[in-house]
Amino acid sequence: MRLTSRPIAVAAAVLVQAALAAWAVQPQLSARLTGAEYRLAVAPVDPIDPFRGAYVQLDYPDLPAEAPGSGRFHVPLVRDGSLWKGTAPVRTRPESPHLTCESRGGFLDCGLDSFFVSEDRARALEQDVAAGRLAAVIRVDDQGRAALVDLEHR
Amino acid sequence: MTGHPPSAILAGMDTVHISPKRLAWLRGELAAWEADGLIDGDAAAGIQARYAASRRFALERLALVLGAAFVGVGLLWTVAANYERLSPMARFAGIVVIWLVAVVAAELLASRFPGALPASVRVIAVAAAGGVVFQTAQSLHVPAGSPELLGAWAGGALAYAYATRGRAPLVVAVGLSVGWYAWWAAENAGSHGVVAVAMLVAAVFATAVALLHERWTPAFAAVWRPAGVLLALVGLYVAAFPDRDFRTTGALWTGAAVAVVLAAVSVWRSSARGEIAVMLGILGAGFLLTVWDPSGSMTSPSGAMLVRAVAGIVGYVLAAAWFAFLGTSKALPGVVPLAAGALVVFVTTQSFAIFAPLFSGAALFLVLGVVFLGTGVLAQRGRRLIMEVSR
Repeated sequence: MRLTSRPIAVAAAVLVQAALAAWAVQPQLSARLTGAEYRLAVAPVDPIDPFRGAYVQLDYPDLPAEAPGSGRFHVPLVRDGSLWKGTAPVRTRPESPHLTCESRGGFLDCGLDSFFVSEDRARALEQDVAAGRLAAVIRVDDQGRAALVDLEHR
Repeated sequence: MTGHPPSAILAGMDTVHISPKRLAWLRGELAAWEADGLIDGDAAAGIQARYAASRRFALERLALVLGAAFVGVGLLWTVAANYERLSPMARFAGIVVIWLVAVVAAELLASRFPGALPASVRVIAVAAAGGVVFQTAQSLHVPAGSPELLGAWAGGALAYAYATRGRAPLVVAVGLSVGWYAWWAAENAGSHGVVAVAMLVAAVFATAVALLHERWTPAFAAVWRPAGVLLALVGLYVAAFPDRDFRTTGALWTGAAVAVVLAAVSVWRSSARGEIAVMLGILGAGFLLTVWDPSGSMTSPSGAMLVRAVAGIVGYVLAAAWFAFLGTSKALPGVVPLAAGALVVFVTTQSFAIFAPLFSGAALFLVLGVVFLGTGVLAQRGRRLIMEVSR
């Protein structure tokens, strides 16, 4: 009994670990797999994550940074030339393309502010982002969950 | 049982390697038992013949633990290095393969050579599972600064530790879980008081889990119980510092509710009501200290601030003394050194905080020296008293 139950328990634990890993990245995974693509203007900041290394911390000048209150908000996206812009955040989910964001203490977090790259490339990217030469390519699913895919020249 | 004398039965058993210090203690005890007439010379010789002094196993274990820790950190570092010459999918596949190979290798080793070797490979498997979580998050650009990833790693590590019944992965899993909970509870709070109360809540949780384990899996109780003691002492230490920004968070209340329910279950299923009551008392005392924010400043402290400081010191010393008593009376491994070490660190920092503004240079060292000598004498007398009471 013991000889057969141990491998089953370990296999179940491995599945639990895999499921938890998928759960932790679920919004980004869904957006990557099922979302449509949009391009947004970006600006840089610059830190490091102990477990995932260097990344470019991004700001989005064309997305609203604040919301009137805490909790879940939706930011409708409208086309502006080759890029997209966000309009004022709303509580009810719109039919049109939008981002679903969380407001903590009035500050909006749409889950798009970290772009992980090697340390060397992070420095080069920061200069390009600071000069306004780059746009963020994101994918957004029909629930408004978004994932950052790449940074491209405008 | 078989009619053989005890020494003959013992002679047929495998030699057990123990540290020279422990063997010297055993020889002393055997001589005392023989002198008291509890055992005869034949039995004493038979028992002694079963044990041999060796540092080999301690060194082997140390090398394996260090090796596993280095490989684990190296795997996480490799993920963090973000080698862009390999595609994200290749890096993800690589770390998944390493993880699964470590899991399978640990099980194969455990079935052949139980001990420190499979334990160290299991620690590598836990680290590799963390690498899978962080590689996935890195490839998908999941925003930094969120505790969910650590939570996913900790939850998976706990599931793996329980599935393998491995103490080494459990030690790592408990550490990760505590880190995740303190981060989650204090997220956006900007307050060290929230971290202190989160640690005290986790201490109640860990102690309740340890008590539930005592009957069925005592090896796991030996991990959870020192974790509870360490969390209580660190939580009380942090709570002693005044915090103007403390406010309760949803995560704090959720954790407290879970810990209290688990404490109630452990009281129902075990006989250690006193232990749970003391842990809940420590949680209550720490919470009161944290919300108690008297007016005044560090340069010109008010009377209420001094009373708060004294209450913090008395509470800490009482808690450390309780854990020392508990560790001695129940012979709990690791608890007494934890309590003694925590007391030394607490007395040192508090002494500097109190006496440094009042004395300087040679006078400061003389006063602190007297305080430490007094603490040492009291600790020694206290230990003797505890030993006598618990006999």
